[in-house]
Amino acid sequence: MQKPSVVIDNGTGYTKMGYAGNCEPQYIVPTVVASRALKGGQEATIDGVDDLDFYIGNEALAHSTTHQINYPIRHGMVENWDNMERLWQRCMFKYLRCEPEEHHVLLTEPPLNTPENRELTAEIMFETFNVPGLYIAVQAVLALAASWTKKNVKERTLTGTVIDSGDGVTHVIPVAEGYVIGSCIKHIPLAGRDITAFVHKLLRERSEPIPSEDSLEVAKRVKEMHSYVCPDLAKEFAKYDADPAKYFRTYEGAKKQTGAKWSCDVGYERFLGPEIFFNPEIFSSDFITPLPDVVDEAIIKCPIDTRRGLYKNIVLSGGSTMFKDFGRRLQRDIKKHVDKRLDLNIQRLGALGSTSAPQKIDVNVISHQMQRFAVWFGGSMLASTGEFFRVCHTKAQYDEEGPRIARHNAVFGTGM
Amino acid sequence: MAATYKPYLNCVRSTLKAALCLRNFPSQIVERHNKPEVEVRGSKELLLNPITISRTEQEKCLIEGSVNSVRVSFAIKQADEIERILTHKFTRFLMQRSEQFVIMRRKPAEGYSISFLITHTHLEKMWKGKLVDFIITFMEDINKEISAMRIALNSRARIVAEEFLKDFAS
Amino acid sequence: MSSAAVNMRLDTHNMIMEEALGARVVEGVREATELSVGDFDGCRFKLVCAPEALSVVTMHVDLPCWRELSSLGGQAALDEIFAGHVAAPDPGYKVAVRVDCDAVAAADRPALLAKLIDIKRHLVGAPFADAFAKLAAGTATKGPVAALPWREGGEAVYVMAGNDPAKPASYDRVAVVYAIDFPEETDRAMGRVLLQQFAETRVPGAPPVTFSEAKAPPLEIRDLVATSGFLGFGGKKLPSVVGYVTLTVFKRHVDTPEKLADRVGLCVGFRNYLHYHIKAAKTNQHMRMRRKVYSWLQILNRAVPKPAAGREMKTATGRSFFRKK
Repeated sequence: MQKPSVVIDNGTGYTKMGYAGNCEPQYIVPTVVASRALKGGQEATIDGVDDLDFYIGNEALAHSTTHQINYPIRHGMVENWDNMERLWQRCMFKYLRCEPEEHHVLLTEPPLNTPENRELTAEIMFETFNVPGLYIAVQAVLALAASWTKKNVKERTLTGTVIDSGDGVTHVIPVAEGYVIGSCIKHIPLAGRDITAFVHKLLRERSEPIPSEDSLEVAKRVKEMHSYVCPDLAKEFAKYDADPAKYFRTYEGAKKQTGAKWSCDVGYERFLGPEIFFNPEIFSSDFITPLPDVVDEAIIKCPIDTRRGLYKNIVLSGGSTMFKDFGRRLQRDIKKHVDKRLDLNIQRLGALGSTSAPQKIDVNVISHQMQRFAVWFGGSMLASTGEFFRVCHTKAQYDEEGPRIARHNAVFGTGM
Repeated sequence: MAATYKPYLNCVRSTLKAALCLRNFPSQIVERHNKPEVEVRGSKELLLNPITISRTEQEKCLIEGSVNSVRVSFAIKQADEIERILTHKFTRFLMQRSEQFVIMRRKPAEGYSISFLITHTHLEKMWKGKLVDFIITFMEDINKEISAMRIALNSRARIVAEEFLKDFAS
Repeated sequence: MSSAAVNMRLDTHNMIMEEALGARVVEGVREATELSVGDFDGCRFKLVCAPEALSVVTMHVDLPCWRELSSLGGQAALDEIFAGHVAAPDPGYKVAVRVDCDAVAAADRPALLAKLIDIKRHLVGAPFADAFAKLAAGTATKGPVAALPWREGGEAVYVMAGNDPAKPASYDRVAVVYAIDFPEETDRAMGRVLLQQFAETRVPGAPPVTFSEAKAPPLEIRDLVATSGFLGFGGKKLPSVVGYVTLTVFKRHVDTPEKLADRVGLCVGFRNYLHYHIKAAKTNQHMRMRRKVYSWLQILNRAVPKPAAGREMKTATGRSFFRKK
């Protein structure tokens, strides 16, 4: 019987890993390695088994006083291959307990990853771990695949716009037929961390009685537990002021040291936090283009024959897109832009004497259950299909041709 | 390092210095092409007699000269299975990165572990002496490193065995 | 070598199962799930908790060697240790245990959890546990060799009672022989180095280890290897192996139940331990090679003449640029 494939999604912040076919990754750990500092700089060699003295994930953070902390992935790309190899080693042997010889592996990469990086990845996977098969998938494409859970089989497509918002950065990535349109990717320097900071600031300005040592942690919890996206900022304020008791929430906590109980009110920050995506000027003075505008711009830059497909399938991925009604608000705002432009066009065409009106453009923002680890889930889904084993690069191919086989990874999945 | 190793390297060094006497020489056959003649072997009169410098049967160096390029190939000593595997692993690892090494060939010449190809354009961009220095240091280091890796593997294996047996004895 | 002992051993149980079962059996989470994961030696686990009965969890286990193992004490161990919990496995799985979390007294829950997550050690370790228990009780006698082809490739482990060469009548030891193989050539070579070190390393109080080349299997099992051509899975012939390792276990190694359980875990995990360290050694070599490449590139860069001074400029952030005329 075929052994389940292993899916590892190495993100800048967190690594999601697990066996294909499951709904959730088995582990989500910070992508961090804590190892002993080498004495003597570059020429230092590692004796004996000292190189095994390292930790990954939460364990690494716990050892930060005795070990050197390193984030091997920066901006989605692997920077420290030594630590990346060790991280994978731990993932496989300690966390997933798989014999890498027996399980196909699906790894993920950011859009615009270099082919050289893929070669280096393949070198490690095949030389060190002897995996029987390797596939390197683009994260955005997996996020698209993850949204298939919401649709019937006929609508399965690998064309769409992915909005990926994690902790550090938010990306808008148009994908056509499984290929990322690299020139049209947009980045927004606002994401989860900024929302937390904003909520934190609001709580502090209202001087809520939060112990200062936990205040950032509390802001994060408030964001995760109570935040949502409102349809209209002014009306929402009015609603809160008319009936505070109905909308204000109470957050209860205990002090870390003494264990003494405390509580604070949670008010406007419930909807103001996620609002920075739609009205960035309330938080930042550097970046003031709202997310719907950025999405619209990104799609408008794409080849004209892909645009309808891109509007029709806007897919959310990452923890910071989980706010209630996030998708609905985004859809409404993008639709506004699109309709306005279309109306203008119709008017112009009318002035030119044309009678046939262009077709309405469908705008769909898709929210689904698996948003938080959409990329991993997409990988898990694809890696449990028979087609996956067909498109994987095999060990035999590697032995024959070398790492360059990993430069290209065939698109698959729509024909299921 | 064995006492006979120094003279061997010195010999390679002086031979290389003499061989690295190259000039720009466009292809005689195809217009506006400029190829390393030692590789294309288009015409006999452009090639020099190859020189082999051997230290032992296994450890040798082949220097093939031509009018506009020189190919240097080394055979690295491989005493047993482990050394053979380590050498193979290491040279493969290096050749995978030959882009960065500029003068390294992606494949070694037949019968050798690793090859370098130096063309006249390399000599125009780099110091000849330093280039030779690099090749000599490289050869010195790779031998040292392979034996060091071998020793490291053994001592590692010892610790691994000890730890397991200690667990069993406790 | 102060930090040498860090991260050397692998756990004997599956952490994913520990977490998922722990949440349900001990912490009282009642959440439907279906979770399937793999483990070493071709094992697979599937944990099912149906939405209709949230307190009942079933763990299905697939062991590739179950056909042989069940007759070597595996079935007996299952019936004894998991009495009252044995269930019918799903297709594709060999063994299943079912627990109704609500029916277990709160005090018994941690012990039950410990038993459940160590199911692999209990089952695969049954032949070891059996032989060791007899040894500890002093009732070991010459018996048939328990031969367990425990991995799909045909690698096997043999367990047998042995006697003192000086006193042929006293069976005072158990010999555990592993036929070890690795699928890839590099791994095989490195595995051989490791195994040879096992044989050469003497630790006071530890079982003596011998390593035999593939062409000369240890005497105890030579007949078995020669006559049966080995049993493997579906009668597959045993492939060429790297070699045979014999661990000779004495009574002092297994004289308490705790020690016995621990040693069984060590025996079951022996090959995984080897495998893990082969991969770790390869990673170490890669690290060395990367470092070396870096230092060589620096030497090579010295051969490139520095661009004429004054042309290269640096920005405040440290990037360099050229000003064009």
